[in-house]
Amino acid sequence: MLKGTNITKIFGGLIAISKLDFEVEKSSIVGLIGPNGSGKTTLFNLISGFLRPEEGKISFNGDEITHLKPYQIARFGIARTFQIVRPLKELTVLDNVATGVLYGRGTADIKEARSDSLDLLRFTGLESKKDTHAGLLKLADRKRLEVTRALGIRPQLLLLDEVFAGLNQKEIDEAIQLIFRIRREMGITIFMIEHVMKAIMKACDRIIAVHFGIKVADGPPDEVANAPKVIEAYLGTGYVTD
Amino acid sequence: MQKIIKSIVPVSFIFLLAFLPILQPPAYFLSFIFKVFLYIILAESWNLIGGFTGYLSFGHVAFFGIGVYTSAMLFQHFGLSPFIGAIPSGLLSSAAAWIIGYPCLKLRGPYFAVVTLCFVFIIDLVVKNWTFLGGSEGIHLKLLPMDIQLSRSIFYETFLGLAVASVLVARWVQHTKFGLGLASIREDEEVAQTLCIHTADLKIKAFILSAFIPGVAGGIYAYYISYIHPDIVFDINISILIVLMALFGGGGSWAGPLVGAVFLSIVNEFLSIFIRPEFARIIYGAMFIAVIIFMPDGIVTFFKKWMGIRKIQHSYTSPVDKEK
Repeated sequence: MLKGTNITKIFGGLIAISKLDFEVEKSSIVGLIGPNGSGKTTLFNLISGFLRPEEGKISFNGDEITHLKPYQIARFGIARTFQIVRPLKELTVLDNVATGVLYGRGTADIKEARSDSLDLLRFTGLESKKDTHAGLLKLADRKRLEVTRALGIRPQLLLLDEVFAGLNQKEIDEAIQLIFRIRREMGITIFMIEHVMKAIMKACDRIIAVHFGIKVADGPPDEVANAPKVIEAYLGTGYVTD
Repeated sequence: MQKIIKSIVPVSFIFLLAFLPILQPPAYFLSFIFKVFLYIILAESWNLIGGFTGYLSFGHVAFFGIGVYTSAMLFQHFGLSPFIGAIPSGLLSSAAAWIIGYPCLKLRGPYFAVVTLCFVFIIDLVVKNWTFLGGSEGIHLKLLPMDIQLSRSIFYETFLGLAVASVLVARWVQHTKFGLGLASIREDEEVAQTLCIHTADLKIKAFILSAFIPGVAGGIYAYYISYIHPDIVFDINISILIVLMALFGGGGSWAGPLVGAVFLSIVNEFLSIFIRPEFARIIYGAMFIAVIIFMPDGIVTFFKKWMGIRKIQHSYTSPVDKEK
C-alpha cells in the first residue's frame, strides 16, 4: 500500500534518514520504533508531505506521492496525527472533526458534516465533549480528538505519531482497543510511531526499528524486540546477550 | 417560527433606519450615521481575512482607495454613473488583492501585517506622483445633477444597503464550509493542510472577497466626498481604525466588527463633542488598552462568556447553602 525506496533526508550536515526502504501492507498495523532523534517523525513528515526527501521515492497504491503538497497527500487518503497534539483550539470538538469531513469527504453541507462527525465522535467515545472548545480538553481526550479528526477525512492509511505517550495504563489499553476497532470496523491501515514498548508489542503485526536514520530491524514484534541491533540501539553493546 | 420572531427586531430596526431621511434630520446627524455605515462595511469585510482567517491586514484602506479612484476616473472620462462605476471599482480592488495576496499570504503574523502596511504607502506614493490620477492635487468631481438633500439621502440608503449586505456576507461565510476552512487556517495552518484543505487557495479567495466590498463602497464614496485626495482615501489611520474596531468587538464572529464599529463611532463622537477633543483621545486610547488587556477576544465574546457564567452560577447551589 505505502512503499518507500531508498529515502534520504539531510538537514544541513545531519543525515536524518539514510537510504531507508520500508513498506506498509494493506490492512496491517505496522509500528515504527527507535531511540530519540532516530528519524521517526522525520519519516512521517516526509510521507505526509511536510518535508521533501533529498533522494528516494514514496508511493501510495502505486501512485508516486514524493513531491506532492500535504493537502494533496491527504486527499489521496493518508491522514496523520501530531506527536504534540494540535487541536484547533477555538473551535468546538465537533467542528474540529467537521472541518476534515467537509474538505476530506467533499461534503458541502455543514449540517450533514456535523452529523457525520457526531457518528465519529461516538465511535471514539468523545461524544459527550462535542460542544467543548478543543483547547479545554485534557490530554487523553486531545489525543482521542487527534485520531477522530484524522478519521474525518475518511483515510485509507492512518499515521499515528506517539498516541500513547503521556497516557496512563488504563488509557493506553483503551487506545489500543480503539486502534484495533479502527482497523476492524473501518478497514483502515495503520502505521504508528511508539515508545511504549508493551503497547506496541501488543498492537502491531510488524515492527520496523530505526537508529540514526538507518533501518536496523524489520519483522514480527518478538523478533524485533530481541534483535541484537535493536537492543544495542536502546541500551548499548554491553547488554546484547547471545 | 422562532427564526421569524428572532429576525423581527433587526429587520424592523433596519426599516427604521431606512425611513430616517424622510424625517429630514439635521444634515450632521445623517452624515454621522453614514460614516458609521462606512465603518461597518470596512470592519466587516476586513474581518473575513483578519478575523476569520487570522491574517492581520493593515492594507484594507488601499482597497477602499482603489475603489474611490476607479469610479472617479470612470466618471470623469466616461461619465459613468457612480452606482454602475462601483462594480468595476470592486473588481479592480479584488484584482489588486489577488496580485498582492499571492506572494504576501505566504507570510504570517507580523510579517504579513508589515507588508500590507507598506502596500498602502506604495499605492499612496504612486497615486501622488501620477498626474493622470490627479497627482498630489487630487481630483474635483462634478456634482451630481440633483438636489443636495436628495443626493445625501440616496448615498445614505445605498450605504445602509451595503452595510446590511456586508454583515450578511460575513454571517453567511461564518456558517458555511468556507468559514470553517478559514477558521482552521487561523487556528493551525499545517493541521488544516492535513485535513485536505488547499490553504493557499482558500486564503486568496477570502482576501479577494474581503477586498471587493470596500472597493464597491469606495466607488460610491467618491461621489459623496466629490473631492478626492490620496491623503484622504489612503489614510493609514483608517486602516488602523478598522483593525481596532473589528478586534474591539471580537474578530471571531460576524457580530464583533458590527458592535465594534457602531460602539466606537458613537463613543468617539460623544467624547469629541462633550469633552475636549484632546481628552477624548486619551480616554479613547485608555479604553482600547483596557479592552485588549481584559477582553482579548473582544467585547462580544467577553459578554457571551459572562452571561454563560452567570447562567451557571444561577443553577448552582453550593453545598454550604444546601445545609442551611
